[in-house]
Amino acid sequence: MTSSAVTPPLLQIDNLRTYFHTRAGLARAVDGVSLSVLPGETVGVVGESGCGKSVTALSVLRLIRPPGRIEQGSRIAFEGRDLLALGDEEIREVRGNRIAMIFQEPMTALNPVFTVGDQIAEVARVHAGASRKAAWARAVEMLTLVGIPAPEQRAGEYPHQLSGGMRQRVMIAMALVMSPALVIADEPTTALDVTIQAQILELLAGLQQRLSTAVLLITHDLGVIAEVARRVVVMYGGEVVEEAPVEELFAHAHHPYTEGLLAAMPRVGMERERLAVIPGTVPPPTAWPSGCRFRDRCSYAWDRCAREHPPLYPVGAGHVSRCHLADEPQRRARPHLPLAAEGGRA
Amino acid sequence: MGRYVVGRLVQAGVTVAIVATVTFALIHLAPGDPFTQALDDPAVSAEVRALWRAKYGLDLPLYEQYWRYLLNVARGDLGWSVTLHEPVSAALARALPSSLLLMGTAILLSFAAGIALGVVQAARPGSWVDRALGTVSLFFHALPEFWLALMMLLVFAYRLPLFPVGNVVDPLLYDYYTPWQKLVDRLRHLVLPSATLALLLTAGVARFQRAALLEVSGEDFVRTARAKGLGERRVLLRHALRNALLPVITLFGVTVPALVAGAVFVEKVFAWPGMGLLAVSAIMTRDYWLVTACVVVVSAMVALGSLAADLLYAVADPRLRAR
Amino acid sequence: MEMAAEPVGGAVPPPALPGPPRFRGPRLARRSVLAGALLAVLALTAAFAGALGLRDPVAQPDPVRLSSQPPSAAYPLGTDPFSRDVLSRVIYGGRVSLGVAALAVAVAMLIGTAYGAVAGQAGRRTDAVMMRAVDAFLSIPRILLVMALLALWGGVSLPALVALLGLTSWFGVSRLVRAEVLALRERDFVIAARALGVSRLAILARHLLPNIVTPLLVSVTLVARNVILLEAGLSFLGIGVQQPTPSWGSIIRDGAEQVGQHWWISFFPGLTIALTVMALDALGDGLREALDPRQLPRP
Repeated sequence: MTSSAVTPPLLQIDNLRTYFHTRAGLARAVDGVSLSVLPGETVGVVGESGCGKSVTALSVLRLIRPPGRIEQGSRIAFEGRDLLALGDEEIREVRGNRIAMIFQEPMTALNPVFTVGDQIAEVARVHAGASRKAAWARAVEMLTLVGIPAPEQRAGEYPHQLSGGMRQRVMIAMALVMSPALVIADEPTTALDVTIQAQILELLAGLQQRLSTAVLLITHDLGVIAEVARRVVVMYGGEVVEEAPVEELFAHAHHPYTEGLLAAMPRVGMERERLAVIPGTVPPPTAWPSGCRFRDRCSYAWDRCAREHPPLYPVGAGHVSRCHLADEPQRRARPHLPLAAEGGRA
Repeated sequence: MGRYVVGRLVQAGVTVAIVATVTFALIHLAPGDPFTQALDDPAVSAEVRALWRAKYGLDLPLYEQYWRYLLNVARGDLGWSVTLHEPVSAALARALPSSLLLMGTAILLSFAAGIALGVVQAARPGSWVDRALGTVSLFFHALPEFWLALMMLLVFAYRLPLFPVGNVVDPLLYDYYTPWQKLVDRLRHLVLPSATLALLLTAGVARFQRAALLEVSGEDFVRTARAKGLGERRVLLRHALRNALLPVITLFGVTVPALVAGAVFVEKVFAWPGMGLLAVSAIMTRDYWLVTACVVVVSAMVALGSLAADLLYAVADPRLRAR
Repeated sequence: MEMAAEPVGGAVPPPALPGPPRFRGPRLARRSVLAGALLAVLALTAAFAGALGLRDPVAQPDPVRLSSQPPSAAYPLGTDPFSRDVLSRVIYGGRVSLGVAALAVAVAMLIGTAYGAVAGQAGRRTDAVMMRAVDAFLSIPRILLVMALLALWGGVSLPALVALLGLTSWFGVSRLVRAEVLALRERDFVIAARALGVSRLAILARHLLPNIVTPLLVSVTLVARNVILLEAGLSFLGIGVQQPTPSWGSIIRDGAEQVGQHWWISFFPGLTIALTVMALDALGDGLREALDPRQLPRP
């Protein structure tokens, strides 16, 4: 998905392939993903667990450890440089400084033996060479920014003394210390209560506006996407299967998987009593099916889907979909039980 | 925190009491009684025998003897050594400081070296450095203490006359040394025995530290630290190690029994006049009160060591401090 | 806008079933295989010592001229102060040391497993008392405990030695077994079995044992290596295996006085102990890795 000619993208991922070379086999967790983020934009990446969205996020900052490896031919351009070509020192300068990351589980993502103030201040000390006092002051400033009451006192506390919501605010504070151009948020609200979720999302949205930070938001929750994202990337089987502006996606979803995701969302005022479920399970990354990776769970699949791996077809303004239905839309009129459902037949 | 300390002290006391009881039981279950040997010694006068009878209640039923025994122990009266002809507490007062010096030095050396080695190994797991150090560790961990002691003697005292072959100080010349020479002499005599003990323990500490560090390295907060742009060194030494040291502190408490066991052999080979040597000779000569006292003191040391480790842990881990 | 955390619209994978450990075959580290091979060689040499045509380990052919001779073609490991062939003594000593160890390990494993199983099944108070006793015993350095017992009871016959070694080596095993039993008690299938009226013993036998095989196997190597070192230590002090029967520890004792001049007498038996214990440690490590799914990268 290329950007408009006017604004060059802040982040441009091209054909990213991150494979895990395990004893059980080669796991192609991310298999040719391309996406971009414009400055100040919020892009949501959505999909089930096992689709490769988290691995994509980690790959940007090169946080993939062996046996995982970003394969040759991948390119991640940020502020004009290929992050994958940088040396160790250079990539460290980007991390926490130009690109910051927020993780899912704030309890385990924060070091239990250091105070939260210490951990936030550390970023300033390492990247800005700030003195202890200056860094600490900045930490308190950040805690205020993320809406934590009594910040001077809180800064001296340990992670286990804070609630889940507060810990996530701390993580956000830690991410924003150096006013990064891009924040990657990997399932930032998944581990939180619903009410806290809403607060955190609000906070993120507000901060993003104030600081004009671009956000790459990874989540499995379409509801969160609807709230915050401007553009949505849907991933399945290590690939991008659909990409569209958010309203377009919700109104005119094209890919059967996206349809399934939307149908499975419980909504206020729904008539049906049971949630619609996508039959079958995500295939293992060591053995992606041939052709279209979703075909066994798809209600429209036909023989072409097994033979030919679908490319990303354009299906609207700024909207692409990896599905042969774009080529043969008449097939949509004849849905059937997916192969993965019991008794299904293509 | 205060309640925790008191609780643990009580626990330690209970353990020592159990050990004392068991030892008492063993002694009285054994054929003969503690004083047969002494009582048959013609040199012991009738008065002294009467004194002992009264003091240790030899004519009283067993549970009364036990009670007196406990009281005596609590009071610090640990009995009379029939082979050394002095109060047991006097013999212990001589031997204990030597043992503490030896064991203290060994444990400090072994933890410092072990932690360092563990860090080096965990920094590059699977590398040749890691594997080489691992094999060397495995080798030292498998050595019988007395054999290592003998080999150290062979190489560093006989073949290369760098260090003396035994004792705490030079038996002939010590009294004629200047204070500085005395210190050097003591240190020279300390080197081989403590190095031997330390070598044996280092391997265990290194293995443990390596494992702890590798485990911590997989934790989320280490990934966060990297994501913040911190260098590998800082991530390892500041974020990971600080957490990985915690389990090693608990190892400290568990190491003391191994330390004492090793010390027994090291003291024998190097003729180091400590508790180990005392205990062994007491056992060989069936000096029962001395044996009991040694076992009780040793178990008290172990209990205290473990207590110290627990307290250190409680201070070091902020998650426990708040309680 | 609430969504379940896992997974959107897809089915949930079935939970892993409990069961005996799956052996991961060829992943057993090469080093552990070597270790196993070494142990096998040692054990066989010890077992078939008689068939190897060695000199008599006990006889003293020529105390005047043949004592404390350095290693030579005729005597590959030299002779000891009593003119005995060190090589032959080391091999026959192996028979004694390994034999004693094997029997003591068996005793320790039996007692430890039984004690641990009982403690794990028992009520909280009984369990607490039982384990506190174990803790107390664990805090006494084993060597002292054994020495004290030996001294008090006098006799150091081989059977007594084996029994004593076994009786003082089961504490760790009991802890392990107890932990497993406790964990198992809370598992659904055990609760279900109890609800169906299956007797405790049957539950223990059927469900506990397969799950415990793994840690017990590793335990065996641990207990064995400790017993070997303990016996060697006792024999070194003169209160283990009695002369003239060779044991690795007592041979070291023979050469201790003159280690400066006649190093070979103490050197070789000690080296053999070190190699045996190393092999057991490596084997234990390998077993632990191969049978535990969550292992760390090995050195």
